[in-house]
Formats: sequence, structure tokens, C-alpha cells
Amino acid sequence: MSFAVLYNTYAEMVFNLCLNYLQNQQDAEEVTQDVFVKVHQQLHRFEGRSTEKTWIYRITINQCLDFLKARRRIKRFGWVIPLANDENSAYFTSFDHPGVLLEDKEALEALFKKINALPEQQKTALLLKTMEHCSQQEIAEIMGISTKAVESLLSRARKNLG
Amino acid sequence: MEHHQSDLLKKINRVPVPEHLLAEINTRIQATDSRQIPLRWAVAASVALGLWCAANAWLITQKYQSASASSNLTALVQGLQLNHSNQLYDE
Repeated sequence: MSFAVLYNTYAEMVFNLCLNYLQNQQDAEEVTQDVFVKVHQQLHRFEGRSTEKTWIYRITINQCLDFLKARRRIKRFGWVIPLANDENSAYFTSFDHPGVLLEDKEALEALFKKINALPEQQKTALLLKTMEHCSQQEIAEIMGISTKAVESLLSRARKNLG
Repeated sequence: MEHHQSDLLKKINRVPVPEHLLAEINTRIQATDSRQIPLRWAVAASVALGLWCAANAWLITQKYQSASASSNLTALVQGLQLNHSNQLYDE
């Protein structure tokens, strides 16, 4: 499949997953660019052992995690963490999700604050299930774990959210 | 996770991809491609480096061999108690 076809098919999926993961339009645009640059670089190495959708989902999640890790390093270096009240929220830029209606903004910002405090794997499984409507089998393939592990991650995530 | 939280998440709308994104991605891909060294050049550079290393190793072994040959000769001369001096007779 050519790069142009891949972009047209999956750009919206990638951009929305980035938005839900990072909750900031500018950050989501940056990571979406990173994802497609990586897809272009690795396209000739794609062996088709998983579906293109699973492969692109995996790249997107890894890029989102790398983005947050890079920000964590920068902020730790910049002495931001000791000043922030909530350590986890300091890694996220201001809540700017264009898919959120104004009347729901406050409630969703609070909910995403809780979701961002979850461990990485729980957050990933939860977002893939609730926002991307992936099946447990698909989540297992994307995350490279068993369906049992996905089930456990989802139940712990729901429990942690209260 | 409570029901209202799940309902809240369902209210988030899908967002269309900004149109400028594809152009920016293409620019970045072109920049990455131009920064990458062509494979032919990389192979040529590594072959040249390999040859240079081999030539250096050869020169060093040659030098060592000639040095050890001359020291063997000196040992032989000393062993045979041959005089190095041009002087034939003691005065």
C-alpha cells in the first residue's frame, strides 16, 4: 500500500488517538507528523505479520509515550516538577481538545486528569477500548499482550477511576 | 469507572485532520531523505576506511619485521664477537 493511501485511510484515526492521549491540538499535530514520518521510513520493512491498522496504532501509541517521556525529561531538567502540585499533570500542556463541547469541558478535563494519572498500560487499554472502540483481541495485538492481560488492565483502570 | 464517566467520554467528537498536516509531513519526509547518506556513499566510505586500516596494519608489521631482523643481526654479530669497528688492530 502506498504512503498516500495509508495517510488518507489512517490520518484521522492517528490524529484522534493522539488528541485523546495528549488532549492538546498542537501536541497531537506534532505527534501525528512524527507517526507518519516513521510510517514512511518503515513502510518498506512492514512484513504484514499484523494488519496495517494494528501496526499504525502501535506506532502512534509509542510516539505518544515517547513524546510524554521527552517532556518529562525536559520538565524535570527545568525544575518544573517540584513547583507543580500534581506531578502527572505537569507533563501535559493545557487542556485543548477540539472534540470536546464547551459545556463538557470542565468535567472532561477533570476526567482526563484522572486518566492521565493511570499507569501507561491501563491508560492505553482504556483509551483504545472507550475512544477507539477496539475489541479486546485488537487491543491485545496492538499492545503485544494476551487478551486476559487486556481484561485485567481494563478492570484495574475502571477500578482506579472509581 | 462509572456510567456517567463512560457517557462523558462518548460525547467527545471525532476531529477532522487539519489540512496543512500532510504538507508539513511531506516537508519533513523530504528533509529526512536529504539528510540521509546514500547507501552507495556509505559502502564506499566503509571500504575506503577498511583499506586504510589494512594498509596501516601492513606498514606497522613490515616495520616491526625489519626492526626485529636488524636486532637479530646485531645479536648474531655480538654472538660471534665480530668487531663492528673499522679499526683492524689494537694500537
